[in-house]
Amino acid sequence: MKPSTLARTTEIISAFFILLFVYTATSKLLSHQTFVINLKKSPLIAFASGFLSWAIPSIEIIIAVLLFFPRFRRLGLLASFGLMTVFTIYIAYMLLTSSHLPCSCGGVISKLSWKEHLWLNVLLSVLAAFSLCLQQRFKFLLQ
Amino acid sequence: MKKYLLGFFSIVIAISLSAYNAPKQKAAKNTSTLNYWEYNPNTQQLGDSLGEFDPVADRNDLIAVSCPDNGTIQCARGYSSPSEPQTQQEIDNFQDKVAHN
Repeated sequence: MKPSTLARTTEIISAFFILLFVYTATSKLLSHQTFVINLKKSPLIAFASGFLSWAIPSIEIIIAVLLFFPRFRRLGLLASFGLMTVFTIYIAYMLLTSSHLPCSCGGVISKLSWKEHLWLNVLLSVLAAFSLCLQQRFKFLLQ
Repeated sequence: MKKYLLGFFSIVIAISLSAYNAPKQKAAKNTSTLNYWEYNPNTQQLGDSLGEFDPVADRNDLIAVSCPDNGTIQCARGYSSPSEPQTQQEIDNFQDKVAHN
């Protein structure tokens, strides 16, 4: 793959993650009360619902900012991969241990079933990992 | 500048999408409106429900549409639903009886 193609692909994937994180963060902030209520109903994290209701959208916005600047893109992709992995593990845990659960996601993602949400998160984790590999390859080729 | 263009458009699209999908806030119920009925003091009976009005903002509507001006009919008002009141006691318990001048 040519370096320009690698760079372009990484840029497009980063733009997609920027869109995803800004969208979900803004949706959560716009429906903050609903988000807090759903967090309170969620297993494991209910005790920290107040803190998480601000921390999660903030982290998503910070990652979006990191992805926006090419200089910090690699760090942003690492953080995206980390966040997606945490969400994936949490959803898998919820599917294994609980039956009826609220969705404290944002926007249209809340319309997915839990299984669909899990698959989406797995896909996004793989995409972030793939983009990291491309970024690494691009740096290697430049050297 | 070109390298930031894609990111910038992503942010704009994301904010637009979330604003579009945001839950619509219901219009706050106007708590200053009251239900009005015709009230005949001679028969001490309630007449037709006249609807819901803001006694200050809808004064002209009240005059134009509701309380008839003939000296024998007054307008009773209260905070309960249009199906109330049913008895004189309930009418007496109303916050106010408004005489139309």
